[in-house]
Amino acid sequence: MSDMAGFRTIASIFLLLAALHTASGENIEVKRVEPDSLVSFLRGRLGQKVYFLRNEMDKATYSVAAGDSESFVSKAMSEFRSKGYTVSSYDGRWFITSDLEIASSLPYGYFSANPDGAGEMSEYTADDALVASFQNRVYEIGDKNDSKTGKACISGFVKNIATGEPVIGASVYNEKNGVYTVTDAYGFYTIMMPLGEGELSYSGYSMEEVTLNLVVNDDGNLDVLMKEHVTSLKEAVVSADRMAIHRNAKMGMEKIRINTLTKVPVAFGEADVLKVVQTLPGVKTVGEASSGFNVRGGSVDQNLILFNEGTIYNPSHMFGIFSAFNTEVINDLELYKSSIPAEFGGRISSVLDIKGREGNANKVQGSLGIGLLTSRFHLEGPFKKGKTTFLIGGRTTYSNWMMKLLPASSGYSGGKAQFFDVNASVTHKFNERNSIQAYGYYSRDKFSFRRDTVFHYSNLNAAVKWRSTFGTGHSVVAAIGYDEYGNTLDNTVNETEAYKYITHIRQAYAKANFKSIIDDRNTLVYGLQSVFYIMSPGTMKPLGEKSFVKEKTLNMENALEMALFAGETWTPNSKFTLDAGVRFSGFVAMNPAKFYCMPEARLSAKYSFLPNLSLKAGFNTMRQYIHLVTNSTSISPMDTWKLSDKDIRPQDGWQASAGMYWSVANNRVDLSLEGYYKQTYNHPDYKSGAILVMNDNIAEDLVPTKAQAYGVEFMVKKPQGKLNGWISYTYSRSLLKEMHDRGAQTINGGAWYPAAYDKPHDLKVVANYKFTHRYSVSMNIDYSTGRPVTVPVGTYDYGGGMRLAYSERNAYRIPDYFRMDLAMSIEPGHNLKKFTHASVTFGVYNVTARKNAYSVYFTTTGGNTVRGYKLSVFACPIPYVNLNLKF
Amino acid sequence: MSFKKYLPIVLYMLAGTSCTYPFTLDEDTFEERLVIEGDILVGGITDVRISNVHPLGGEDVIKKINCDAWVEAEDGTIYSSSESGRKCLIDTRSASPQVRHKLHVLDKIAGEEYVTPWLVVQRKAEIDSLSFQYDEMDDKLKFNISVSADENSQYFRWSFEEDWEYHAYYDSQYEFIPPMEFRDGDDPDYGSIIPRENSIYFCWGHMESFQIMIGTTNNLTHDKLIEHNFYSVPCTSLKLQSLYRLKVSMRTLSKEAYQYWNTIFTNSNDTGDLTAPMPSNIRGNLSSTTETGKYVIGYINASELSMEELYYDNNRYNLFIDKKAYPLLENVDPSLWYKYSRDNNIPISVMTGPSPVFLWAPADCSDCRRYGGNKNKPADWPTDHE
Repeated sequence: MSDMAGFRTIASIFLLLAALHTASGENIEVKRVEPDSLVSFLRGRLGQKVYFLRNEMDKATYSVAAGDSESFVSKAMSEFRSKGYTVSSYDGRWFITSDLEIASSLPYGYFSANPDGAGEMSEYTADDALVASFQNRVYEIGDKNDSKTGKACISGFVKNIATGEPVIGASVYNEKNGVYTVTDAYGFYTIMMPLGEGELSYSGYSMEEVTLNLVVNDDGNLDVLMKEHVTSLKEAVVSADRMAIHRNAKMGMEKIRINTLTKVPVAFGEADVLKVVQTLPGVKTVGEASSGFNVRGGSVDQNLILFNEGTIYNPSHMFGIFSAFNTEVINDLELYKSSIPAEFGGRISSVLDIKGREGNANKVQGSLGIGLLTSRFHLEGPFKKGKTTFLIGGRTTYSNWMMKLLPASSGYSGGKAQFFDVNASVTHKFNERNSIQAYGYYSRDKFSFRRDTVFHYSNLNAAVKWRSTFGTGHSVVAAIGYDEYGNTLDNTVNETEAYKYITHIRQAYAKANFKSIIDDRNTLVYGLQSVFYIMSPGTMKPLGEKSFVKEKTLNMENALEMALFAGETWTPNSKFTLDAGVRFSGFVAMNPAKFYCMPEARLSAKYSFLPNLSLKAGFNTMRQYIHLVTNSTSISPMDTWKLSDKDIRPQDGWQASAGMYWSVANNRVDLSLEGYYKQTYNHPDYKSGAILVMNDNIAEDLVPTKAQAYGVEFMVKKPQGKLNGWISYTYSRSLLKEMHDRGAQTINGGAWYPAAYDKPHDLKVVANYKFTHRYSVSMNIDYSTGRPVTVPVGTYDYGGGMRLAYSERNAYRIPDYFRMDLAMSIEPGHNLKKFTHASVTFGVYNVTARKNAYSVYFTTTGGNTVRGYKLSVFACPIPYVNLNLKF
Repeated sequence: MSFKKYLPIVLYMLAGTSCTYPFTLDEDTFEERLVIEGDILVGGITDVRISNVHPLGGEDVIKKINCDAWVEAEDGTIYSSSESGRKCLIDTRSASPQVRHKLHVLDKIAGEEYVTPWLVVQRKAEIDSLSFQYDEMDDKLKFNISVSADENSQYFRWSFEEDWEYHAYYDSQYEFIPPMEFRDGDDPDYGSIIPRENSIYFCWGHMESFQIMIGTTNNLTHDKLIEHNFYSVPCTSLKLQSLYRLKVSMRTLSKEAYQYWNTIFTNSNDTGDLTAPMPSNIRGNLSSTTETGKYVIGYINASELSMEELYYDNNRYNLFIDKKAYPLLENVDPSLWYKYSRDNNIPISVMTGPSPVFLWAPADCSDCRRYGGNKNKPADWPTDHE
């Protein structure tokens, strides 16, 4: 194998403005002209290739005179320098900028594993064709004297030219051979290319698409810097996201970029990860202000929420009004509803993989967001340029401060409600092949609306990730980390019975995910993961000196979950792709010991009848060893988690799905139709009257249930263009049934009953219209069938008062849900000289003022009257404004 | 644990967006069920009541019920009911706490019998004391109970009767006798005012608890409840105006009975919130002897009864907050007596002199019966007011 050749590229596309000026005789002279005119003169009359970025503050006039062209050009450049411009030249081109020096080549050793390895670098420079020269140049990879035959492996990083950040999820593909890959979380890619001449295209969301002409002689590196696309409003750029759907076999995967996320209107105006996830087909929630979400008929605990590899057990602040994620530090998120890759496991419904950003590698920058209820900030930049970057972010609410302002007569002035979350990460690049990232996240909520009851809950994640590439086409991402979720309740209603209730789940994990490009048709992923759980199901302690509460701690639960996985992507031709994987998971519960293990299958296939028409089918089996113990509709701060043990079996599930994907209107619009059927077993539901807090033998109050869910999801998506967004309609059902007959005690007599999140009809519209680059409006529509509830079927007298007799579980439904939101965004201008760039979003949530039912409930008052109530949490239009400053 | 009440508070605090509206079910959800209530009270009278579930808002169909009930002791003794119908009283004063019992209820119309399993009589726990405590933050009087129990009697349910004496603002000494026919002029007949024979100044109120009040020592270091708050009365309540009495009855529950009551409490008071426990149907311990699995509402517990009472005298503690504004007495010309009377005023007192002048006041602040109470003074009431 020959030494790998290094190629260094810069992508920059310039718009040239041409204007003609005249010169007379041998003496060339211009007098008192504006700089643009001088540049035009240089270009048009003197044939100079000039890139000019005018300083908007430059109001000066220019006068230049010389005897010949060469002198004139020289004097003109001196004149520009005297006015504060930076002038550089390369290969006959002039770069005149107001504050930036244009580098015509990358710094020496920019990507090199060996800074001294000059011999490994093949310098790339722009050639004579000024515009798009980058794409028309032929890049030679490997020594042409090498005698390699067959295929060569090309790998490298794709980065944003402006920030140095990796471009995650960019498509890298060879259209001719149908070879396709995407960049990973580090912007790294590896792809097999046939030897000889060929093309390699790079396409990332909102990035300029690039197609390179290659001559491949051997394995080699090819790093690419991409430039953010300045969207032409009339243009529809074929983005990687759109055509990607026809290139891979994955089904039920939704990817949301941060740009999209910030456009969707939400209550109180703060961009919200979970609220945007809830606009996707197949994702439901039990209420507007509820924690968690339900994917394709699964319960909330069947979603694995990963934030930079760490598990988030409660993804919400303030009962679900806000998500626990600061969007300023997020790059993108992926939701897997169906074809869950073999590298993910441990939950049976979905995986929500939220990837944080790396800090800007070139300069320090940040942002400050000010909303009606919350504020957030972030700061990022290089510690050591090109080597070490940092990113920190934080968010908090001032609701506590607002509560203090409430008058005593409101009855709430003594209450408190507050939250905050902080993120920090440091990334260090040892060399081209090795980098390491340390990451931390902490969020905390505190409520006290009565003097005698205070709630807390918190998430903590810390992780160190190491990424390395080795050999040809091999890479590994290894991580170790620690996650913690805990909640406490301080109850002082009765002084002698005052107590503190504490639960927590702690987990330490280690994982190594490998990826190997076998050849241009086969890609293998494999690895191992293990999680060690330490769970405290509940501790009750006396609170205060007068308390007689008996300190009690339920038995700690410890367990080790391990998994080995391997997955293969086989692409025999451009029409057919098969993803096949197996995950072998094992679980050892301790005290008492119990071992479970099971192989899980992951299978999905794609066949493209046309380049823009594909059919896919998939089959998954999943297993879950950790369960949320709850008898409420949504996640409550009082809920606890339970590990599988000798009494609580793991949850198992399988899902079969099929779908058709069709890109129409010159591939500007994607149509998709997916259907699925899934079954799960051993999902623990609560018995009627169950006691779930401080229960020594909680298994006795839980019953295993069987669930079946099925549905079809139709989606029309227009990712880009002046009008963009999506419309989705879902018909689905989600039913539960107790697995064992307990006679008269069996829930609903052993018959199927709808899950609390069973909402058959679901229509969602997310639309964004750009008037100009700066001004856009967004609309969001959400309609769904009302969720099932258990309601009173009558009243009876008992114990001296009127009581309520209830129906079978979830036998009725609350009224249907409908909501429309509107928002307008004003993005900052492109004045690069400004220190800050402000964007403003304002809008109205629930413009139709529909009084949607958050819940309906019935109470008996005075012992002899029953009253029904509908609680509508956003019963009126909610205007909001959000100011975001970037610096 | 319910967060339902917190969410509107959060949203009120944040943006004033949250609202609660009356809600009625569109669908007819009524399901007919039989309800049997009647703890076996060893050493007392077992009061068995049989009823039906009523529709939520619709028209109730009074179903004819004719039941008989009896308590069977494990030693073979049968305690029969003295009545039948919807209410059966069984004299179990001589029942022994040492043997197990079961309750039988016979629906004579349907010919169906319901029976409990053998029930252990729960060990009696003693009420150590009743006390009250002024909560100045909320301006209410908190009533606390202290209980001594043991490891076999850890679950309790309380019920109470409350009696209170109160008085009107003005003590009316006279009453107006309207004329047969109102006549003005030279020979007027404006009616007459005579001394009042029956005072309407003092009245007594009586209520029985409808709340579900349960407690446990299960989580405590010793089997004692110390000043456990189980009931509160706002200091603005007329109950505290003069003399107030709380008579508390306590019965010890089995753990299962406690869970049953706890579920009823949750179902009736703590529902609707997404983070609150969902309402659930919990089976009682009565089963049909003819139809297995038939759903009957009710859980029968067997226990003895402990009782204690407490008085609050406002003359001593002066915690009552009187928020009512009262009008001044008016001097009324006899020609206006009749009109005044028709306008709900009554004569209070007289200013004597050459020509006596009667002072009148609205009946609402002079007639204690208008505040929900009556003149039925409890037989054992400690004051001599009439």
